[in-house]
Amino acid sequence: MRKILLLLCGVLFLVGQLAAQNRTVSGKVTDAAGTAVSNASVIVKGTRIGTTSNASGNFSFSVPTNAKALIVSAVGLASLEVAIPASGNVNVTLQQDDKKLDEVIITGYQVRKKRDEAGAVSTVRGKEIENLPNPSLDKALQGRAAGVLVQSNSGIPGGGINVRIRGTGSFLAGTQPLYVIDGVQLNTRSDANYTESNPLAFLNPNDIESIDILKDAASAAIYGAQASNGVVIVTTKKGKAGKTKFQFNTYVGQATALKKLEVLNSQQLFQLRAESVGNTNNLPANDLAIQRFVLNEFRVPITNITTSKLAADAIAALPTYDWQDAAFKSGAIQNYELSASGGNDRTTYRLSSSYNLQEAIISKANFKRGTLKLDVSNKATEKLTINTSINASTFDQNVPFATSGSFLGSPAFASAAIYPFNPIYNPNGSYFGIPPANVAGLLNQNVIAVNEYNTGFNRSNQLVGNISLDYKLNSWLSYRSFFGLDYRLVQGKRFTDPRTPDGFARKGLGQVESEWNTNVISTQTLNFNFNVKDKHRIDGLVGYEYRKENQEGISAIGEGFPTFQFTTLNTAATPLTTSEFFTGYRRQSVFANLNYNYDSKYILSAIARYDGSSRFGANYRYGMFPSLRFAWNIDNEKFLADASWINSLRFRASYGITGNDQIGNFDGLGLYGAAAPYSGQPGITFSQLANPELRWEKNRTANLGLDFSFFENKVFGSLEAYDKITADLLLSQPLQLTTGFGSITRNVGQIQNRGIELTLGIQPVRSLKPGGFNWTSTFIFTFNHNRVRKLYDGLQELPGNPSTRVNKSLGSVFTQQYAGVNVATGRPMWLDTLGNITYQPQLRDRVYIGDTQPDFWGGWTNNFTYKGFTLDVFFQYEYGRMADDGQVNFMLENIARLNGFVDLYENRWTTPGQVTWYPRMVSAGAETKGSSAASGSRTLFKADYIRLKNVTLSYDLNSDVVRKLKLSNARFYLQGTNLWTLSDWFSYDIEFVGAATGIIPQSRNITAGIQIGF
Amino acid sequence: MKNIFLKLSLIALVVTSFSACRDALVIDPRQSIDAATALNTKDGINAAVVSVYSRFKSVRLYGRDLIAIPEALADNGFATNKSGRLLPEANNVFRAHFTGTHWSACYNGINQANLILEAIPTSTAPGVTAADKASWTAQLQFLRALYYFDLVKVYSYMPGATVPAQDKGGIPIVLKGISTSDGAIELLPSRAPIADVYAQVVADLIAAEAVLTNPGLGANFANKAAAQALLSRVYLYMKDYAKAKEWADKCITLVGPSRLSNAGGYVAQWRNATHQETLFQFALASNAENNGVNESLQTSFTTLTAPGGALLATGGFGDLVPTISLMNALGITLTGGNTTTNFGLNASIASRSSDVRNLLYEPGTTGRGASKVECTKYIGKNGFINLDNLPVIRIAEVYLTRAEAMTTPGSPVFNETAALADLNTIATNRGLTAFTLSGSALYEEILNQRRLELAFEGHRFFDLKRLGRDLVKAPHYLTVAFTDIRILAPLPTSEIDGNKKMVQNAGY
Repeated sequence: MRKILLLLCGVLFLVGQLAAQNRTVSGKVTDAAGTAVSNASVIVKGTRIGTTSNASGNFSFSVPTNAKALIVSAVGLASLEVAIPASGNVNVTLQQDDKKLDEVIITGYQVRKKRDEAGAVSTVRGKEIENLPNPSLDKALQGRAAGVLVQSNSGIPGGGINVRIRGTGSFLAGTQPLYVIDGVQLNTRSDANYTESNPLAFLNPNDIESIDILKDAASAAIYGAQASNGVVIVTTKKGKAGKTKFQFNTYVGQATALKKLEVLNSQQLFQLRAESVGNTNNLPANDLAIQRFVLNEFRVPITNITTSKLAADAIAALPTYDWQDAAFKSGAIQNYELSASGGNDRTTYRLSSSYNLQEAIISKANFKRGTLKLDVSNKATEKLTINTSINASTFDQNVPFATSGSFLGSPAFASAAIYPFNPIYNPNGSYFGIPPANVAGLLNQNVIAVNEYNTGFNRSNQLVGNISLDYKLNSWLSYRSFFGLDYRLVQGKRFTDPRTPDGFARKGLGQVESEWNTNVISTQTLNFNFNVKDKHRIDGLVGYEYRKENQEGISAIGEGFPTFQFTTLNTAATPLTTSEFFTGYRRQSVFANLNYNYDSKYILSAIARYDGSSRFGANYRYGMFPSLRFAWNIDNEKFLADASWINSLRFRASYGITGNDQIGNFDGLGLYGAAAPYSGQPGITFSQLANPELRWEKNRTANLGLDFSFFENKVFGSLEAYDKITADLLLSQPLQLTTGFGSITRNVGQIQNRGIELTLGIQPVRSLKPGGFNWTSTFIFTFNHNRVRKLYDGLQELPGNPSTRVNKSLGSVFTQQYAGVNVATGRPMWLDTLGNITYQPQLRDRVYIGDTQPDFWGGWTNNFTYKGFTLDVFFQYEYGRMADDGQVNFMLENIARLNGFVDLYENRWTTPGQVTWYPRMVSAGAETKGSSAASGSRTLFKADYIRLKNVTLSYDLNSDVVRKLKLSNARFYLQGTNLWTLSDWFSYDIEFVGAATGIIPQSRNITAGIQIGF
Repeated sequence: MKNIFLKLSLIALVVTSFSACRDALVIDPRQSIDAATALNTKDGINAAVVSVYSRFKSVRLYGRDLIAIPEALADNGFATNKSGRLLPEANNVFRAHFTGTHWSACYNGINQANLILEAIPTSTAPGVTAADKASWTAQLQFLRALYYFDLVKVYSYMPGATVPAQDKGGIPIVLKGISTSDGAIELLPSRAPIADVYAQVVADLIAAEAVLTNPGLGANFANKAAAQALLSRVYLYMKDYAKAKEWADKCITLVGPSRLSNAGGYVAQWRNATHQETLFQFALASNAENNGVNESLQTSFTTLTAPGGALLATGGFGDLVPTISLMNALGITLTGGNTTTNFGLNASIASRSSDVRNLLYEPGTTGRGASKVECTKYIGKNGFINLDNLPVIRIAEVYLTRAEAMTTPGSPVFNETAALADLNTIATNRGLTAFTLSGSALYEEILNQRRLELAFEGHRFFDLKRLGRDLVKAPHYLTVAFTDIRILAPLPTSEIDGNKKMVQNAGY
């Protein structure tokens, strides 16, 4: 079996042979219950020589004759040091990790034990997010790390994700965290213009070993001016010494729509439209003239419809077609991975490759990615180690009609709202209503045809790699030289077919773009680590870093193509625009971190980073970002020695300052830019005021934390409380227009985020028998209180933007309160400043309605194991957010110019005395001397939900069977995503940020997979 | 040995890593360039001057608003509601007037001009001669005068025609370039007296006129005749009739009598990209500068794509068409007479007077509702639909200005004989028989000819305003009295909110 598999994958790897050694050690690793522990790391103490245990927990490898002891460790279990007996045969029993805090975390330029760390750091293990069908890692963080809010722009595979760590801390500058992958600080700006393209999608999430999220400013201060929004540090899987091990993993499945909107049939729609027109003309909906008018709108010939009876027959004869059925398809999901890892005492490597395909539920959006990743570590001399990690990937996305928006031709927007009596196909099978004809109604495009005819793709080629040299200067001091590259080329093309309404008159529209981004980083650090006497340990680093990023792009647009078969720009009759741009920035920094540890009881840590960035004004190029952290390992105190129920207990406090530099690259400069030409001569115009005072937003966070583990680790978790103040907040301050400019960005405001984060785990059932039933449940809760604290000039609200108000949450909803429908007349009503009913609310009648940021959110993970079976059930939730869904707003209109919801039909006001939320139909949308029925708070809904986000059932083949098959492990798994949602949301999906108009919604994904090691 | 090499290369690595420190943060933008260096070359200053011209092409300035809104606010334009545009303005809805963008675009242009004017004297750019500097300075002064004039005529009363209780003065005068955030924040100006603003306009124009030449760079650029013509208009607005006549004299003498087209050639001249009478216009040189199907002059005034094209495809919206009173004055009679009923039907012209100017008006298409008699002064004359040069001043206006200056009661240069001669120069060149009028009849006829001659060129509202007359809009709309606050446009709210020294116009 193994041979066959090896042959199958023989194309893959060639590696150096093991160096000669002279002693063999073998044994078996088990846990306290006697179950074999696979993948345990077994290393000769004081060397890099090591191997891992196989599925039956067995290991065997050669060690130097002078080797004295082994260090054995495995995920979730406590590491153990065992002496190598003369026999060379050693059986190791690892205890349950009674101190979860012994996990190792990566905290920026350093790998440290969580127990030594005094900041607020959340860690997500690669195992937790393994095989989830998410193209990018950010999506996988949803609900799994306290304090991290993850929301999607849409369901476009590989599309944009919003990640907020501890609330939104900026208004104008960026709010996304800094991502660091194996030491390379990524550029996470999306450069694709034709679809949503997530820069983090280059990495196969299954290549991730762990994700560490630095949440408090004190921890993040090591990243200085980039760290205000938190730092996400991703460490990828690396090779382990030992015999070459192959892992093959695949899953396949299907994405289907979460739901279809319940829309009206043609007769119901006719009734609404007739009421709409009738009410406007003070005539009943069944008036013949009204019926004839609407039938004419519906393109029914009315010449012969002269009686009510004939009209009724014509209405009854209207057909109904399901455009949503035609637009929504099921999408394929496929993933294939193959990796090999191994090495010897000098060299370890891991090579992995993958192919991933995901199709959205609305064609043509899809995502295809191939990755190739190589990690090599070589111990060149006793003192020098060379490491490299190279990740090359390419992903192709087909472009949807639009990523969002109320476009007539967008199937995501229009398919539910198109007039349903329009057929999709002509009787002969050709598309109905394509140019020069069209489809009846305001949504006059055959979106199915449009979607088939238009094409577009977006390709991202990305190389993220690094090389580093570690040189041990002496026993306590080492030097690390690190160089990283993040190179990305994004190429896009979009073709608006001449057979579609948008392309018909212009005979096709072709657009191409190419953008490339070169992001280079160099980090030089000196690391030190020594003990003074027994109880004092000092470690830390000093470093210098330089980062340089250039972004360039070209694009061109042309129209007038000979036929639809010609889509390349050289065939376009009329070139419309060509353009080019360049932007970039430079940053240099020095930083230092000093940690002092007394007797593993008291830990004190100080960080300072001095950052300079080309982005800022001449007067504020450089800034200092310091922090202090303290931790007290209470469980190590003598007075708790008898409290055996306490497995671990520690208290942390930290305070630090970070900055936010996510602003435009040249915002501080006075600029002359291109102006409109005149009389054939090119022009330049003074386009930007010099702003030498422009500087970083400063985030000061105080953090208190408590980590605990009680009752034989049956209860564990951590609690954090934070107060994060973003001062020098960038706001756009209006100028007198007589200056020639409308506004200037200044560091004048202040935002506060205060919150509590709780991670609480319990193990209600723990079996001591091998293969017994175990249940672990982890609950993650985040409460964040976001408040704008200061604007400029003592203002209480931002001019022209009432949703930004002092002492309210950023993006709070400030509008007129909808007061329902007048039972007598069916007119929509609102409340005025005095609380009285008004039909025409004014600006002054606006009141605070709610927030668009959630009050609390989180997740709940349950893990069940029994024999070879593992079941993971993961819920996520959000509470306290209000949202305004553009798709819903259109479909709840009291006009019937689009198809609407069944709920609208059933509850609209029709008769005096009727108490309802839906006003009567009127064709203008607003009554005479009344405001539009969509005004004020009527379109805002609570967006609370609980969602069964993910369920995974897996079965690991019995180790005996595995051995018989000559495999090291074999696992089968079945997985479902977005399986169930508790919410009363009208639209396709409650999980979105933005306007939600015409976005491709998320899907329900079911996949089945198999993972084999050999 | 190996170790030594390793150590050496490590040291080299460290050195190179740190050596970049000094200039590490230097990076220059490319598609925009640092303001500190932008005007260091001759081409740079040239290009900067170009942008002071090109800003005027905006639909919020001469691209549409300065041409169309004065026709809609006054008695020349009827709004058809075919796109809904200009309907509030024609109805004189409260606040439907020139917008804040007019204000901000003008002041942006003024700031550009100020910055370049400050840079020119000290420029040592290679190839820049004293003549270059003088020419740039004169062009910028000419354009700055036009920006200020276009501001003050919108936001303030005109000298000698005010409603004192509602007169809040002129507009801020900013003559210093703003280039930094601090400078911008500190600028909190107040409204200068009306007379000061006009004095600034005149000062710039006189300085420019002294340097500019005729024909100079032609009618698309600032030139001597245009400066003289504008001076005569500005003095007329200031009711300084002697000066108005003086500059009109100079201008007419400079360009000669042949600049005025005759009755035979008048309509044909309107089909050319540049009318021979044009002293100054803003040129739209290529289709990339097209103001488009929504707000270009052509789409604003006509549905036609070509003259006589009523049966061809419908082009633009034809949002603003001549009122019944303008049609009467032009000598256009609809089938059945110029009644509101007939005006509401598909347009059909029964007869025309001998005035050739009415040949620039004809029925549009029915593609967007009932056809109307529409103005075809802008009909894609630059070779593309919706692409027409934007008129600023023609020689015909200068004759009418001079005539008005000589017949206005109390004028120091009162001379009815000369005024009648000027009037008849226009009349006979437009297919009318010569007038024999005097007194107020002569004066009113001169104003009437000014209305007919300059209809749909953005004058009517300002002419009525400077004369202190009511906007009589029957039979389409209600009359707006001169004392009505709607005569003045509102200042942008942000100017008042952020600046205690700034005063909003009355009633807003």
